[in-house]
Amino acid sequence: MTGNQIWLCAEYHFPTDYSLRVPLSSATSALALPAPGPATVRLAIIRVGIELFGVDQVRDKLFPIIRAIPVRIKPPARVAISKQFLQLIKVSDSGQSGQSVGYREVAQADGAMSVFINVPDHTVNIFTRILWDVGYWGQASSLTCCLGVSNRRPQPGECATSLATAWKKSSRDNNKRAAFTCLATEFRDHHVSWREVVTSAGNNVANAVVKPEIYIWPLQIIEQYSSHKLLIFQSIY
Amino acid sequence: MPQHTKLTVYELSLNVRLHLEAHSMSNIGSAGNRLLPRRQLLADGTEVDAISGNIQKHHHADILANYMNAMGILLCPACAKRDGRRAAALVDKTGRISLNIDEILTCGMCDAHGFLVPSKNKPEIVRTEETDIDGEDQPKKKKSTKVIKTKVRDRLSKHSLIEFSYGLALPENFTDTPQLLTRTGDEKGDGQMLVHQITRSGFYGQCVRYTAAGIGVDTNTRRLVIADEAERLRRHQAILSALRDDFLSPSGALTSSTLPHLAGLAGVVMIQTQIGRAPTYSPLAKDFIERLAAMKNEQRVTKPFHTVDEFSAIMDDLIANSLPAGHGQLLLSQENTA
Repeated sequence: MTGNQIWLCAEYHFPTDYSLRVPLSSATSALALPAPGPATVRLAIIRVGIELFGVDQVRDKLFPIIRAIPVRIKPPARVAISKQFLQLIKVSDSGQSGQSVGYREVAQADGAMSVFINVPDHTVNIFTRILWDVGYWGQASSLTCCLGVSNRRPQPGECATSLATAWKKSSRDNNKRAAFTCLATEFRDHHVSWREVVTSAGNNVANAVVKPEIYIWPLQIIEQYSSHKLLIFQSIY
Repeated sequence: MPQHTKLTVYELSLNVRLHLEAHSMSNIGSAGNRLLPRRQLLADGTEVDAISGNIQKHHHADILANYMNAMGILLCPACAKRDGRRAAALVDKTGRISLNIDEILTCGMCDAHGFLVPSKNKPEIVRTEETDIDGEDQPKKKKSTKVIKTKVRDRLSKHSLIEFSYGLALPENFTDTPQLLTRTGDEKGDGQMLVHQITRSGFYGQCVRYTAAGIGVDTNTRRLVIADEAERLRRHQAILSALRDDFLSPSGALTSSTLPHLAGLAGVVMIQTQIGRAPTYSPLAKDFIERLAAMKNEQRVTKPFHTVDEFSAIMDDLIANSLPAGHGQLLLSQENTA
C-alpha cells in the first residue's frame, strides 16, 4: 500500500444478544467470543462490500486492501456470556431423524464495541460506507447496528491483541494485567487469494485461510459460574 | 382515486417491546418432571427470562408456508410438507442433489428463510498391489492403501432474509409462577403424574431484521435469479403478512394449554428505502423509540407504534403499499460514496 494511511473507528451497538463461535469449538457445544475477531471483521467488510459495490469491484480493487489493513477491536464495556441449551435434530443419510441436545454460549453486551481499521486515504469514503452497513458479525442472527464512524486511532491497551504480539512487546513493557484470553482467528497472511476467501458457491472459507491464535482481550472476568460469566472492560496495560 | 406511490423497502427492522402474560413459550428442557425456563444473563449482571429466536422463526415459517400456498407461490416438495431442512431435504440417497441454485430459488420458502446443503466428500479406500521389479530373482509384491476423497456434492446455500433475535425480558419487569399440573402417564397403569411448569409474565425486547432486497437473489453472488417483479412482490407481501401474524398471535412451546396473553406491543418499524442497513436498537433501553425515531433521514422511514392495533395498521399498510427494492437499486458506484 502506498500513500497516507488513516485510522477509521466505527462504533457498534449490539441491540440484542449475539453468538460468535470461538474457533475450533464444536458447533454443537460452542463457546462464544466477547466480540468478533479480526478475520470475522475482514469477512464482514468483504460481504458488505460485495452487497454495496458488487463482486467485481471488491475482488479487483478492495480485496487487496482488506486482506492487508491492520484491524483492531475494542470490546464493549461489559459482556455477559450465558450457556444456552439447544434441541438439535440430526438426519442421517438414510433420512432417519433423531433428537439430540447441544449448547451454545450467547453473549449480551452493555456499551459500544469499536472496530478500528487503517486504510489508504483515497479509500476513506468507501470504507466508511462499508463500516456503516455492517449488520451482523459471524452468525446472521448476531445483529449489530453502526452508531458512527470517525477518524480515531486505537489507544494502547484498549484493543484485543494476539498473544504473539503481546509477547514481543512484553520485553519492553511489564505492566500487563491479568486479562481474559481466548482463541480468535486472523487471516493467514497478507497474501491470501480471493479464490481462497470467496467462492461463487458460497463455500466456507478454507481453514488454511484463517489461523486461530490466542488473543488477549482488555476484559476481566468478575463473575464466573458453570452456566455463565461476566466480563468488564479493563485496559491491558 | 388518489394515486399512492409504493414505498420501496431495501431492508426493514422491527424493534419491539412485547408484553406477554402467563406463557411457557421457550424452555431449555426438563429435569425429571420439572420444566426449565430459558434464561439469559445480561451485561448488568441480572439474569432474565428469554424467548429463543428459533422458536419465533419456526412459527414465522409455518405461517409463511400457509400464505405462500394461498397466494399461489411455488414451494419445493420439502417445504410443501413443512420439512424444516428445506432444500437440504431434497438430497437423494446417493447424497446428491439434482437441483441448482436457480431451481431451488423458485421455492418461495427456500428463498425467504434460506437453506444450507453442506458440501460432501465420500472417502474411498483404494488398495493397490504393485510388483517390485528390482528383485528379479524373487519379485516382491508391495501393498499400499490410500484414502481418496471424491466429491459427492458442492455446498449450496442462501442466507435467510429474516433474522430473529432472542426476546429478552426487561430486568425490572418480569416474574414467574410455578404451576403444579397433573397428567396421566403414557402407558396403562402409570397413574397420575405431577409436572412442575413455570409460567412467566413480562415485557420482552426483541429485534427482527428483514432484507426485502434479497428476494429472488442468490445472496452469495448477489445475482438476481427471480426477475419477475410480480412474483417478488407476492413473496414480499407473504413475508410481511406472516411477520405481522407472528407478533399479533404469538406461538411457541406449550401453547396448546398455555397460549400467551398478548397484553401489549410497542416499538418502531424502521424502513431503509435504499441500499443500506435498517437500524436496530435494543428495546431493553428505556428510550429506544426516541433513539430510533431520531435516526430518520431521507433514506429511512420510521414508524413508531404504541399499541397492537397501531402495529397492525402499520404492517397492513406496508403489505398493501410497499415493494421490495429491485435489482437496479442494489449496487452503488464507488464514486457515489462521498
